[in-house]
Amino acid sequence: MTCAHLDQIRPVRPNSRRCEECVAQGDGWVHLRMCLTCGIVACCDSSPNRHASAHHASAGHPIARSVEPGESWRWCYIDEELV
Amino acid sequence: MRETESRLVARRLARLHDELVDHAVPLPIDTAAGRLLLEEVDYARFPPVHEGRIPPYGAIVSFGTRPQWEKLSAPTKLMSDDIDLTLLRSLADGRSSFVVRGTGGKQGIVIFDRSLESEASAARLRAETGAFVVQRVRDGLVRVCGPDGVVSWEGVEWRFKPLAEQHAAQVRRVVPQLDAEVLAGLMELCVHWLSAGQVGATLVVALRGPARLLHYLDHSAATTPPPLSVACRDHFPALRSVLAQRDRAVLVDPDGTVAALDVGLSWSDRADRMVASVGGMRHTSARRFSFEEPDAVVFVVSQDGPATVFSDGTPVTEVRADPCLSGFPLARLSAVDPDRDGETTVTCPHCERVLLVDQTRFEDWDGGPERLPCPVCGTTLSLDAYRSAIRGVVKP
Repeated sequence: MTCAHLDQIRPVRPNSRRCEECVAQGDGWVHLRMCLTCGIVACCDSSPNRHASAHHASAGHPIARSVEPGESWRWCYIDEELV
Repeated sequence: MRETESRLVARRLARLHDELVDHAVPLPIDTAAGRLLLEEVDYARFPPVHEGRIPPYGAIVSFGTRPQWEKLSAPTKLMSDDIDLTLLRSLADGRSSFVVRGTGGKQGIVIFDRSLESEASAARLRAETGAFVVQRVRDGLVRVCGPDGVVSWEGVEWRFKPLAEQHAAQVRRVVPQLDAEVLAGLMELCVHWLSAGQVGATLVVALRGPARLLHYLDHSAATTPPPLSVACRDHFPALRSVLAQRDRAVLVDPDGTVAALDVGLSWSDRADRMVASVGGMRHTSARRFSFEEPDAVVFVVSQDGPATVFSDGTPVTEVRADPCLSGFPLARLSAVDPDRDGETTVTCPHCERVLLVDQTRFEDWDGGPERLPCPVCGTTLSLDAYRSAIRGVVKP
């Protein structure tokens, strides 16, 4: 299946090297993801707060990429698959 | 099953489902066949108690369209869709007998002529069948061996340990000289035999030439075993047995042959200064010895579980059973991302080791370089990229 949300990817850059929401709460995270529509960096679903998923739910931005060193895979939250 | 009982089971399964989701337990419970897995995990956690005894239990759950248990080399296979599942389950001891279940209502019982109770045996069974192996073993541990790793519940929390083979790739990146078969055997021995059996051990593997010729060794108490090999699975029970009774290191030749037992590790004053003491004595000595001997790799298993591989004074990988929330993504997602465009090398100005670094770059990132400690000597390195991770020392 071809993801129908690829057109929502923008030429963004990351807004931070950390999950700012976790930092504000005093929490930690496991891995970081970046929204490919707006560039916000947030924590992954294996982190306690799951801020990247929360960002998708609130902003509706569909695709995020990993910003872990050496990783470049992208995930569509709507199709629930790598794109 | 009466209606009331059926409703109770359904409610319990729903609770278990939510619990597994909340804890990010990496089991495919939301697939069509996931219901079978959920039922078997639930039964393994809460089997019927008879006369105060909680029975062990085992099940093999196939997700394939064809019954994968056809591949099982079990002397007895009794397939019957008519026999009541409750009766089948009471026949399954999780050691030699297992319920088998698959999509389409296929079910039965398989009986082996050997015990498959250990984690190593269960991981092997999983690899051979492609199925999920669910067990409740004698100490009450509930364990599920699946394609991503080993999920366990010991009464307090859900834990996940990646399979040995998933970490072998990380070691191979930094130590390409190590024979693939020897590496696979070492990882399986360390992760699924020694670590799972809480046997502490140190194994020194030579990369070129006989292991006995490495320099920083103390042979004063060394003994020579029969020709055992870390590349031969049949030898693992003997190796686990002897390692459970030894503190000093085991020497392994490049072809996997165990060259000596009871060998001491040593290092120079320079290694003392350069390589910090981290962890217990076993880990510190392995780190410092590997710093001195670039022609060797050291596998260390802690008595409390984690297995670590040291090369050139730095850990290359560590396998441990972490609580699910922190352990899962490291294993699964690295497997789907073979892209190594961001790979580079950096030389530490202090210890002069060449470090393998994975980086993520963005052209217009203006947040400045990232500062990370050298994993060998601790010197702060300034790495010009959005994010960097040092994977190890490049072998000369």
